[in-house]
Amino acid sequence: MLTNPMFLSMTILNGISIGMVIFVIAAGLTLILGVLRVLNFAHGAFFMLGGYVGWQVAEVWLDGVPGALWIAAIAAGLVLAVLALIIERTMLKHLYGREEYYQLLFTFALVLLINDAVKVIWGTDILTIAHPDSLRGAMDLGITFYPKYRLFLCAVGIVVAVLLWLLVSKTRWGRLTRAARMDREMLSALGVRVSLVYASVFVLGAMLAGIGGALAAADRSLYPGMDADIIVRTFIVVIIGGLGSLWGAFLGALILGLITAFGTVLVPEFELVLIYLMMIAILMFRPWGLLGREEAR
Amino acid sequence: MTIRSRTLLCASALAIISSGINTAHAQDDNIKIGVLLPTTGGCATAGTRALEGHSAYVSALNTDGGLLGRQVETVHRDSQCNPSVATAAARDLVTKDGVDVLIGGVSSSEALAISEVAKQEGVVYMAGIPKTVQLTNEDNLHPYVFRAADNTNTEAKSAAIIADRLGWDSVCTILLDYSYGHDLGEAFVEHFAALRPDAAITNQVWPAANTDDYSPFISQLLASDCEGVFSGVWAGVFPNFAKQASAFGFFDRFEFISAGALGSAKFLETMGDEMPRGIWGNALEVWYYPNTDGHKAYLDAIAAEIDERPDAFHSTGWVAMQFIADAIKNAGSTDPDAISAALKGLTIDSISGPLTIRESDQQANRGIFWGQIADSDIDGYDAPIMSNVEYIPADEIMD
Repeated sequence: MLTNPMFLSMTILNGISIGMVIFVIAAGLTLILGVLRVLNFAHGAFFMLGGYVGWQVAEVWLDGVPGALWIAAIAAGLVLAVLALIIERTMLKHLYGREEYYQLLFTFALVLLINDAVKVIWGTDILTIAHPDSLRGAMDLGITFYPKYRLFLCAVGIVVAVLLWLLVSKTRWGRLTRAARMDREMLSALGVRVSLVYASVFVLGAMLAGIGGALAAADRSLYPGMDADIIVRTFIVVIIGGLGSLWGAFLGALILGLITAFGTVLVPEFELVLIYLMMIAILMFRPWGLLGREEAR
Repeated sequence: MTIRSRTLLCASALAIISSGINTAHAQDDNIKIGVLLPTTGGCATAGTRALEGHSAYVSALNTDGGLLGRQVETVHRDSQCNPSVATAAARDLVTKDGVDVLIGGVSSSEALAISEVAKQEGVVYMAGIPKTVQLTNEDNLHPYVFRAADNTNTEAKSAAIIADRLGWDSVCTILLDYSYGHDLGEAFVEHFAALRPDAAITNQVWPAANTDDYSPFISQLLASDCEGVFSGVWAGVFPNFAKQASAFGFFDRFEFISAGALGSAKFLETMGDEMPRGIWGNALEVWYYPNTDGHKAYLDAIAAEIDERPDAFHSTGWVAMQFIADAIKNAGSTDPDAISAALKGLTIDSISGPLTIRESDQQANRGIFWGQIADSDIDGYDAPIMSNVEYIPADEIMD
């Protein structure tokens, strides 16, 4: 079937679009992991919450309003940013430098809290956001046709990657995050308020998850507990890409997406196993991930 | 994985505590019906509505004087769509609450779990929603398990009848990769081959039950050479599939027949404009068809209970309880063996006409309503409806 050029290109696009959605979540996760050294288990739950906030805005408050989804995505980003700021300033900041399991337990508790809050507010039904009118249907790409909204999601992933890269490598804020990552004490001694750098990274990561959640919800479904599957895939992407590496996460997400898309076609029974096999294979040869740095110990 | 199981653990602990409170004021001379329906978890929608349908029947029954001169009391436990929770709750209902009958289950796995408890404890169990043929096959049949719902054979084979009428010569299927999907697939392929020996099954794809992204499967079907698609993507997960498939132009390309209650009224109201028109869906009850007295009485009773138009799932709770009530009346006792004997061969005057529980395998011959999704032509009702509704009886196709 893969000899059919229409089907082959469709499958490649499926893989890329699956990967790009995961990348938007993974980008925030890997940023937080790289700078704060916190493994944020709740990142999938942030993504889910972003989806629900987006649903509330797009399908309830602004139902039928043109451009509702874009407002919903911004709203979801803002809600998550505020929430993340509160979480970081009141709770998470006390856990920096402590042993990892404190952070794990804390972010794990967030997962449970967010899931229960979602159940209480939105119930357990499966919800879904409609495609925006401007991106309905498929686009003719010559060799194949493909849903416009999924092409848009691919573009979002690429734009997020480039913007984040510019932010981290070309701005003062980016230099501070890189410095904080290398030596927190030294940076603090130089008079930089490191805790604000940390807070801004956590907020930015959560905001990305929120926006990504709302945009992705328009192409998939929302249900309590959906974060469990997402967070596992996101962790895989971050691990194979290299902890803290932005382009590593990008590459990892593309690989995961393409393996999912082609695996489903070629070996449907083993699609999930294939992902783990890929992870094992990469970690055997590069334990620090594809684009991660081997840490001096 | 741990995340989900921890959440579940907490949720079940809470549920056990809260359901314990519900049952505190039970009276001993009442006939007690133990109801196991999920009101939380993945199938809560179906469970909640079935429970409302059940309660509506019991209210009407009690207003008319109850059964055998006694009032009927419902003891509900949340089974959470989870077989292990269902097992524990069923055992509690029998041993602690002393219920006379068990009703309920939404998922097939819940049904099998409750049936096992019914067998061990010697209490009659009536499945109102679960369709799996395994519940009443040779391995699992016992004197206390009964089914008021249609089974997967009836659902899949009636779909094959429609596919045959549409003249499909090449068929693709998209069925979910768990027992419901596989049971549907097997029955459909068998019956379709019998009806149209020359037709071909061109391609079969099997997304996982919790698939979030159907695009790899949609692309595969688009690359296949088939006239029509038989689907088991049921109502709970259909919205997401429909959105993704519509964006690929899927429903313009294929004729589409779907199992899984897509014709359910509340579901169609929720879907609204997003519901693809022209596809075939089914439901166990359709509020505007048929126009009979029994059906009207049912609609009035549900309206009195919930103050709104019923969904097809309400009927499952109603019909299951009707079988139990008639059986207790006929048996003249609540002895499990007497109820079991009364249920075998029992015919009730149901909302969709007479229904009989076969003596051979203790299943009702419940057929399904099929129709083609279309814009509403009912005054004052905007949601899409099933048009040209037809009841396909079960007798010839339920095995």
